[in-house]
Amino acid sequence: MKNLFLLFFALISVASFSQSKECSISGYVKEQGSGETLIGVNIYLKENSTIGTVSNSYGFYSLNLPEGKHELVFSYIGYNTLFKAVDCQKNLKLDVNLSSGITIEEVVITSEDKEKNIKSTEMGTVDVKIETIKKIPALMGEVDVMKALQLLPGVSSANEGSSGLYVRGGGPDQNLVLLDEAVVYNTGHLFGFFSVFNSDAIKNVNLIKGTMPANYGSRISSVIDVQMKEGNNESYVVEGGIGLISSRLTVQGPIQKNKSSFILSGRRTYALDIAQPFIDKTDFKGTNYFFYDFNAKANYIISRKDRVYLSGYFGRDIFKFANEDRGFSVRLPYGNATGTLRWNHLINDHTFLNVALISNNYNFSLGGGQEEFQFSVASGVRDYSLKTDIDYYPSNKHQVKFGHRYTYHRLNPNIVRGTNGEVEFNSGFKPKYGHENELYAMDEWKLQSNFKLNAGLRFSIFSHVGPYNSVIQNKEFLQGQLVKSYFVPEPRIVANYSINNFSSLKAGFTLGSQYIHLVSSSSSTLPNDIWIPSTEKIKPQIGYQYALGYFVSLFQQEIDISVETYYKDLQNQLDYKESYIENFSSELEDQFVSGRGQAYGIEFFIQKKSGRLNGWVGYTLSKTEKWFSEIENGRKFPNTYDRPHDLVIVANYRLNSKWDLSSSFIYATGRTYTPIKSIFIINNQPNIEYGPRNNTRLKPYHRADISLSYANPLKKKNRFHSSWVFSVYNVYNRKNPFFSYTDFESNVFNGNLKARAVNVSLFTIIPSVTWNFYWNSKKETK
Amino acid sequence: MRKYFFLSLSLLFLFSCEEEFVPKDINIPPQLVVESYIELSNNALPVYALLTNSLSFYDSFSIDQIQSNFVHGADVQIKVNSDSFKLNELCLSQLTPVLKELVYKQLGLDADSVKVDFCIYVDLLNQIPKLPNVPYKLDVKYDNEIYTASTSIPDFVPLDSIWFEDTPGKPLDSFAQMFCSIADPPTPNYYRYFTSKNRSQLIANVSSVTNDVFFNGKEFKFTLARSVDPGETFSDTLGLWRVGDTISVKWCLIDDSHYNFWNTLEVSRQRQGPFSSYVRIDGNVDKALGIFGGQRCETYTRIVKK
Repeated sequence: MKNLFLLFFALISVASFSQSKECSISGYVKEQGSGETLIGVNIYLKENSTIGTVSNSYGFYSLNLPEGKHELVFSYIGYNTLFKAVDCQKNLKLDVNLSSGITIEEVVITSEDKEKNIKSTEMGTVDVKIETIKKIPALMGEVDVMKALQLLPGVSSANEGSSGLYVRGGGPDQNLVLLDEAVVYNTGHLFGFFSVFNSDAIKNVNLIKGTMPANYGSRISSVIDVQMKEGNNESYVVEGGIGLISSRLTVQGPIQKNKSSFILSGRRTYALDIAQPFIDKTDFKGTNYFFYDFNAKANYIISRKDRVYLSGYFGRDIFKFANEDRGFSVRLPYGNATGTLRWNHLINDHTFLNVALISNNYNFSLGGGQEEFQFSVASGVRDYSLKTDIDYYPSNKHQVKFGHRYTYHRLNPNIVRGTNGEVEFNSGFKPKYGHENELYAMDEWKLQSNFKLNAGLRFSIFSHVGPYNSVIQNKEFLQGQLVKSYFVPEPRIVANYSINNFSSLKAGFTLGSQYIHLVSSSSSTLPNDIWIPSTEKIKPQIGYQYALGYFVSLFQQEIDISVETYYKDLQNQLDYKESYIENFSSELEDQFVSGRGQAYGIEFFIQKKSGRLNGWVGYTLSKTEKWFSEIENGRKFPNTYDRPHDLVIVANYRLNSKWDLSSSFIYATGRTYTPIKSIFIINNQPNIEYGPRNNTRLKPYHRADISLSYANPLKKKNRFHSSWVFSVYNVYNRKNPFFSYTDFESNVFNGNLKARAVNVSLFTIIPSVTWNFYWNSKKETK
Repeated sequence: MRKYFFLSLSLLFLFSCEEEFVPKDINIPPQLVVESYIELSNNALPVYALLTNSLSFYDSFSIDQIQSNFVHGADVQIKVNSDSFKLNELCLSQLTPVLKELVYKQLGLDADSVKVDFCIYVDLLNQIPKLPNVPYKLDVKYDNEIYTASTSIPDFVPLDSIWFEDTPGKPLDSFAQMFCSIADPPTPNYYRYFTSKNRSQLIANVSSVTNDVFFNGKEFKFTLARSVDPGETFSDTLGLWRVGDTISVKWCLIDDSHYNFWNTLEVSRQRQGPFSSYVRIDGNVDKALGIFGGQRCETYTRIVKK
């Protein structure tokens, strides 16, 4: 298989160097006024738009042109298009600044330029600008990146209000969620109702729903790549907001003007803090809940060729429950911490190097007790990674990427400790360790002016190492000893055939593997769900995805339409055994069963990108199911998050220079649940026998949200301005069932037995208001 | 652990509302339900088996419906060693008042309020020997089908001592908490308990079973909560013992399948929250629902005093 990789690499090399004489233009694209690098800017020749490129994740581009005079176009939605005349006789370095200017009338939840939908080899890929996310009506006024993604076709949530994502039938653990290249293992605050991403600190969100290019791996469903802002390197900016349940504050500015900058951003909830004086007067003094998160980033431009970035995230949810009268208390903190140190280096005008050292840590703990009895439960994940990516632009027909990532995993199972007087107990489980190595190469190859291919190959190797007590091999493995290793070659390919300037056909195939797993026993993911690695008992999850799409742009690319269909074959899927109950006496890997899954569907997406009225309509028709030989004798059953019909409408309308109106509407088939098969009497009390798994559905889900934003028009003389956002969640007060329960009133032998089933709706109509402010040390519009 | 999550979610329930609905009848034929115990103790009842059918989900059930739910005419046999014993069907209306009283007590029933003439299969002559660590087999032949189960009576681990102390936190004058101690043997053991006050019926607590995974082979001191009375709601004195009451604790050792049954049943009853998934009750009767369980029990009676 290594030979295959070398052959693939050789083909790329041969193809790359068999080109006519060219010169190159390279540089960075930045935002004017802040110096933020811009990701995904489209750069192409005005006279021949088929010769072009896109700025990478660090704002760098390199374009090979035929020798001579040309006019370059820098195009980025939300920014004024820039035209630059260049005389390409020798390699040129060209950094450009784009000024924002047309954000007001454009919705930017779209591919970066108007033609990209047609011409790129990306399928199921959406860039989401944070400005767009801020416009979408939000639950309790909390702007939420993950919930905005749920409004796209093929993406759904676990439950109402949940920020967990289910992409094309994949589970939430199958999404690779990255924050500045660090994996985020838990994306939700307050049991998933709010995402961990503070919108003020975020620059860009990229979602890849399916045909994942080879530079991404280790998950089999999707990629959510979130990039933090770098910090304004020209002036100091303070911005923030005060909402019903939380407030935010962000400070950014230059450390050394145009050389280095920083950004610090924090957010904290206070709903129960406000109630503390009242809680203190009750038996529950000391009870509180809040979450906070903190983002920090700094960067330093060492030279034109070298720059470094240091960024980090730290977030915690803290729940405290106390009952002083009963001497009882519980404390439940959990959260993520990530850190990324990156070095960008221009090896030459054609070659860009990124090296990153990454750490991430997710910890969950629960502790408490009553008098002599004290207990604690802890679980979590800690990773250390070293990552190298090289972007190589050998000719205008090839864009090559290759790289490597190594990750050291340490996964804590539920470690339970307790004392009861003099007796101590400990579940005795040991952390599990693994080494994950990934190697990839890919080439975006323009074979003809109307035919492009993105072909890649990724190899992943996972080694589970000791300490580990192997039941299968009947052996005790010591620290670092290899227990089991897996190797998976992962080919990826997407082809784009442009039918004309307005439409194209795309087809893709992806094979992915996943070595770290999370299985939830509930209807949604919870912070106490445990990540476990592949071991000798748990094989890596394997996902095959086949996709086909038709893309068309109408009315001078004002309206994009796409139809994508996909089929996913999922192997080595995990679920809990029947009758599973949380217990701390056996290893989690012994509680799983392994099986298969499949998902297929068709997604329709129509988007109006600009004008006073803009927005999109998305509809997905899909099916996702799985089956396990040890569950109901292998019967296929729909996933909990299977939604055959899913319709989303998002509309933004600019009423005038001060007021904006936004609304969204969602309709989805009701969630599946396992019905009651019968009632049976034991010990004079009724009990429930459940029917086939996920065989029934709650009633259909639908909801409309609306928000109205007021902002004074920006004036150059103002350093400070503010805005108000008034929003109403579930505006027509639809009572969507969140869960159902059964209640009995019974004494069977007395002849009394009554049962009732109840649907509980959690989120009825919820109004909210948020005040946002912005201050810039420079008298300049934002 | 999940209950703490649900507690914190009470915040969100500020916005919640409830709506009754009638679940779809998934139209599956009734299943046989078996409830049978073999108990080794000083005051155990003869071996019996209660056979009923499972019911569909309806809003309410009439006495006639409940009455007709008992299974009649089944052939019920218990096998131990090489001996086989037949259980005889006996309906409540056939019993003498003394026997009725015994049955009421064993099943935790209030004699005055029983309106259903229920029927059980019972070892009328109390011939079945109660032996520890011997396999017992249950055969039920009914409606051209054979249902089987097996169990055993484990060795007993007594409560070494029982005492009462002040309630945790701020002491309550008229209530106490109960402490017990045991010396757990270094083998897997499964425990179940029932409590009563002032000679009333023994009731199993809502979480009545535990295994010894965290104290295997150790001398262990623990609190034992009073069983929740039917209809009792959450209060500051839930699980506490009233000073001056005469209380009883029935302490039982059960085998692992018996433990699994009650453990899954009790979790199934409690797990009905927004994030909960259903739990299938893990019975040990082949092709039927329910339990055939052996248990070795002792009942301890004390007066609550601090």
